[in-house]
Amino acid sequence: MKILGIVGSCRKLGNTEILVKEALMAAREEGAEVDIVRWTNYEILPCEGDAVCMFLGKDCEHKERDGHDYLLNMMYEFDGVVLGAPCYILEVEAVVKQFIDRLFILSSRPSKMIGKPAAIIVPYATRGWTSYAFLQPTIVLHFLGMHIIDKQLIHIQAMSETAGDSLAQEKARRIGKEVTYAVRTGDHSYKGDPGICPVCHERNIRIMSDNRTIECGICAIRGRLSVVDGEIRAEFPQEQLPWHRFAPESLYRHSTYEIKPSKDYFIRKWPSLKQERAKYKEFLDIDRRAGEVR
Amino acid sequence: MEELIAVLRYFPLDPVTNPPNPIRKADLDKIARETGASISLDTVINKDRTVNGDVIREETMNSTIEEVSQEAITVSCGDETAFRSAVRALFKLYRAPRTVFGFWGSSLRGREIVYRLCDEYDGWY
Repeated sequence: MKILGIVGSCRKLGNTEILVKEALMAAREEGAEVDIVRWTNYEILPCEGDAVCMFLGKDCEHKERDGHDYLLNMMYEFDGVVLGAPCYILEVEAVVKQFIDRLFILSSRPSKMIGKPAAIIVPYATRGWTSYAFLQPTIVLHFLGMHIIDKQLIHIQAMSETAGDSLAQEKARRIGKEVTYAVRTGDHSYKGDPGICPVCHERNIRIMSDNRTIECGICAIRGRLSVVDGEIRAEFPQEQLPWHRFAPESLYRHSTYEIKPSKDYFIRKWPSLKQERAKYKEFLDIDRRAGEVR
Repeated sequence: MEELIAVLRYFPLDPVTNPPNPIRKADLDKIARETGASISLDTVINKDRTVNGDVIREETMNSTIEEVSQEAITVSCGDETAFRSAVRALFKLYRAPRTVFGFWGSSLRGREIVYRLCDEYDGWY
């Protein structure tokens, strides 16, 4: 029973690190073997978008140049994950998004985290500046096929302040215990704020352009809003839930019907595109300043 | 008058609305009658596709766009107003195809009109 704490924060002994460690301490007390990694210690280069991983099944060209492959394979050795990242400007630190973008590699090398439990800890400073705090952590864990069993926002201001904040520590400890319990028992039921979306438990609901339909922007399930006794209710038909965006079958279909056939499209279009794009190569040298400033 | 052609390729599980709304020939015929456009439906089943309940398996990496399992609706009409009405009605029922290659086979002008209709209302935004 191995649980990995992931810290998506540059701050040494900052609140994210302290809270993830607190969760891991609790997990260890429950009998788990624990370890921790700071993602920001590793360079994660931007995806080149050349799709060689998807269409040719090749390794990412950055595989030997940065830490993404190493970090992904490290996760695969664990049975559960506690992911912590600080909320900065509405969202968590960018390293989580950098990690997500490189997950195109999963199209040819399926995730080994499918069905494993995970939880999220996000420390933040200012109330009202956390609208998308769980967005990237939820996406990365769902894209890997993990079951998110809890998410906690933790209100804190000073650097390392959680070291003396028993309430924050208590929340983190609960997360550690919950993930351990989920690994041990296989009970992956969700323990956090139920939110609006019954799949990801987020509250980021989109109102579609027909002004009638709502959609969870993360899960892509659709439903209706109603107002009952002055209370807004969001209802999603039960039959939609198994087909949410990150369900294994939905991801398979996305890959099979929306990505792979684009290879044929590209092959057919390429001869004309080669000529059509020539004038853009001539117009302004976009890379002329590359390397001037780092 | 130029014959406008739009091919709308819906791949498995594309025409999901709330509740799920499969493509029916009767619905297409009704739209054709109401708009005056000609609408046909071609169902393609890839040669190696297997279906087990909700689970569909099919390798599409080296398939041509036309070989992939799909329901391809072809709308054709010489009258632009009727053509637009038909495509708009189809989008209302099934949303627009999700991908750029989901319009493969459309005429140049037909695709141009369909893209504008997508910007107007494709059901995805």
